[in-house]
Amino acid sequence: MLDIVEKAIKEALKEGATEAHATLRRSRVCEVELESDSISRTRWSSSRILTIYAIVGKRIARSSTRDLSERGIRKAVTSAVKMARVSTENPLWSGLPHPKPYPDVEDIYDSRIESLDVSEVVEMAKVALQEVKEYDIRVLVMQGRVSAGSSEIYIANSNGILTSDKRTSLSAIVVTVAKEAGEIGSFAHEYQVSRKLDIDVGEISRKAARKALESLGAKSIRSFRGSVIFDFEVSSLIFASLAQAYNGDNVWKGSSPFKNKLGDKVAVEGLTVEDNGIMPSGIASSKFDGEGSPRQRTLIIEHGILKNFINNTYTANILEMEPTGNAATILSVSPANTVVKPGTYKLDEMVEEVKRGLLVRRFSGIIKFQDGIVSGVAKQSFLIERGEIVHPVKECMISGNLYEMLNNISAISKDVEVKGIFVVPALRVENISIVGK
Amino acid sequence: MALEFLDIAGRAIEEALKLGAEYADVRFEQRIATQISVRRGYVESSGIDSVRGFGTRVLVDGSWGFSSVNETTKEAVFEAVRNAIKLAKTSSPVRSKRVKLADVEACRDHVVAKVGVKLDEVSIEEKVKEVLEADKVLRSYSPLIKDNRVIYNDQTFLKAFISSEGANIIIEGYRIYVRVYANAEEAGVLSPAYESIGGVKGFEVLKQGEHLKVAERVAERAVKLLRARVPKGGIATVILDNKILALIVHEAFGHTAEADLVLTGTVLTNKVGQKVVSELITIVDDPEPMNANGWTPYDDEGVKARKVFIVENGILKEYMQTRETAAAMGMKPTGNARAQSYAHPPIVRMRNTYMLPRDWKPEEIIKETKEGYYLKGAMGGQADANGEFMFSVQEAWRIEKGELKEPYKGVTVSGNALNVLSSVDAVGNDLVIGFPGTCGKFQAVPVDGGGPHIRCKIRIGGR
Repeated sequence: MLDIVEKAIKEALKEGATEAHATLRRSRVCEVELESDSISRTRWSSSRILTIYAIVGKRIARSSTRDLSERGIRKAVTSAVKMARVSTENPLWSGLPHPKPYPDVEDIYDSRIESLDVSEVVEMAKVALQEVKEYDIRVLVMQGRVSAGSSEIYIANSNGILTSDKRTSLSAIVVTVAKEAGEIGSFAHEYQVSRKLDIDVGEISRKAARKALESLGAKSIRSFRGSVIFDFEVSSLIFASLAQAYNGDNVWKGSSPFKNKLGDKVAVEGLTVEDNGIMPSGIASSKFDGEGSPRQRTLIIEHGILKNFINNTYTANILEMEPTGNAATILSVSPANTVVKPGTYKLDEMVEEVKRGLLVRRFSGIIKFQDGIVSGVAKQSFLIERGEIVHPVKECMISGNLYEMLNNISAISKDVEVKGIFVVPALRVENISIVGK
Repeated sequence: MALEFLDIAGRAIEEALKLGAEYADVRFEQRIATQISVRRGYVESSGIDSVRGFGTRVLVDGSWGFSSVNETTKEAVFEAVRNAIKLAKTSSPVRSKRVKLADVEACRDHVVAKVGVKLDEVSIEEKVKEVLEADKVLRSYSPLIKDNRVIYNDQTFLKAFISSEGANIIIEGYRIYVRVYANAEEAGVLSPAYESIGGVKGFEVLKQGEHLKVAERVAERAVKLLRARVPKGGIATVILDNKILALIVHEAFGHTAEADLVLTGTVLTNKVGQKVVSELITIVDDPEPMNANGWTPYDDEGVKARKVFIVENGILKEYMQTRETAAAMGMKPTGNARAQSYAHPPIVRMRNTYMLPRDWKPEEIIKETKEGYYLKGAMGGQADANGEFMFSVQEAWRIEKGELKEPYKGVTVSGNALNVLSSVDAVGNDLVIGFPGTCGKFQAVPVDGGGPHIRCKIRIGGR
């Protein structure tokens, strides 16, 4: 397969490209979907996609194809070069990356996942259904999915980068709802994703079932302003939005309020965030990023001070910074694993200090990095009074501002949970507006 | 290519039946998509993506198996068939009920979408030029516009469907989708605005300069809202424009009438024949309007698609169905089975979902409103199967004694779709179908929607 990306580069240069990049991705996925306490659908899919970037001077274009025959490759190369020619110059283009040594990254490939038989994936789905049923008769599996995938990535560019990598992932998500005496609780979901064959489907199901039950008996509350504890999942949504703010692409384009803020205090002292592309078994860990640059660890916020942005070669050049191995493509930037330093609080200690507040396990709404607007419905939430959880709450709105919230964090949990690419603690934030009945 | 496909697909179906399938279908798809993304005067990224592949779906022992490949050799397609059979067989014991399919006519047809200017006959140069024009409109509107983007997408597609029941359908068409973003900035305050146009249309959309009008509106909105404040939260009387209504009708209401979700339990489960919203309201899901983004002459199960009256004068009439859900509910298929691509099995999806108009002129609704807000444009949000939703509104105007006062931004609306639609007391006469988008229920499919202006009560989130 490396010969295909090499060939694409040669063809592109021959056609008149001054630089070229090629990515070939082969992937297979086997998926079993759950619906209403049953398996509903199954899917097996294999695909191969070749993507070529042709650059003529400072004119850039992309072309992709699924046809990997000689003719198919040539056609894709020709259309990329042709499209680049009729495009405008990108005055900011500064060239593709050059080869650099790659880090060793552990545990991102597990041959056991690649060789899973479809019947084994079906078996995991069966366990997910059974565990919920056995946990409590009042809980139903609304939806769910077990998915096993493997991929191989081959990258080459005209500066001599030529590399490949194998990755696997296994994920399970279970969405439950509890019903009792005509009352339907708030949906609860729980998921795990791993690079290895080490997911405990039963545990995911039991957790999802417990969460669904806990939301039964919800009552409306009056509006107030108070402390909000964002459980791990909601915390991951907050950091997902924050990752957009320190994304170099949004910084240089001016849509991030973090531009011109390097070295400034942007959060409470207890907050330290890093972007880590090389942590063992990380969902976004790999040897190289989408442009073939080495992945790395990058300290973003240290004790509340903004230290760095994430960049690919293109955006790093514009910002006069160093690339951080965060290329999604040669033109776009995406976070790797977002790792937030744990704090000192146990979860129940976080609750104990709250006079009046809310524990929020699920949030359906917006967290806009551009202006920091946080607004949405708190689901799976619980009223806290005088240090104790009083009762589950019927959906209420919460609103605040992301950037103010960063400075109003009053507690960070000792435990962290892996939520996809986010490795995050729970957060307690003060002075949030809660709109009830 | 289509003929070559039909031959391979036919043989794949024979193979599936030989391996024990009760039913089998094969879908083939090829698509050439062009993307041009322009910002601040230059092409930032552009590309041509060529997609093709086979997806096959089999029913064995009352259980589904689906598989796809993007190689188009007979060997690869046969391997896909074998994998689908294996998945169906192994999952059959874990199914609570055997899948049955509602009977439909096995249609044979070849449909070609009618568009003005065929997209594969327009040069890349011309496409780039028009996108750059829209960018120019944005940039020249005001120096306060600090960032902007125009993203152009088009595609030329061919889809074919063959089944073991004898269906044989080929659909050819075009889609165009233009998104315009602007970000104004003043004294550290950012103000984003966004709008999109498109549908099953050709390059006439750009030739007629629609993208330039959109660019002007987006720029105007971004600048206008720079100094707008965020309103106080609470329940308010509001007039929703066509766009926000389209979003509520699709996201908060429409999904709850999709039969697969109805079966798992939504606010509309077991409510056919009951009054669920205001009697002023009729909501349809329509496969027809030729140029709407969700145009679906036949769905991805080969079913001839028909208009579904979900709600008529406030009464719930019908759900949207696939053959499987229709059989499970003892109802008729509607042609709502759609798949993102050949690589995905079809599930219940909306097409073009909109509310029918009544007799109020939009300006009269405003005039007859003592106190409230006029809400315009939406920027995404979320909804649940219980009808609870939360959307972000682009622009809000306070209404006092029938007049529009100052603008506000950062507004969200939320509530329960049934409550909100029950509170409707005025429905406008200005039906607009033309809010193309991509619906993301597990898979991304092109949809459209619309409606008139309406007045209702809704929860506003602000400060």
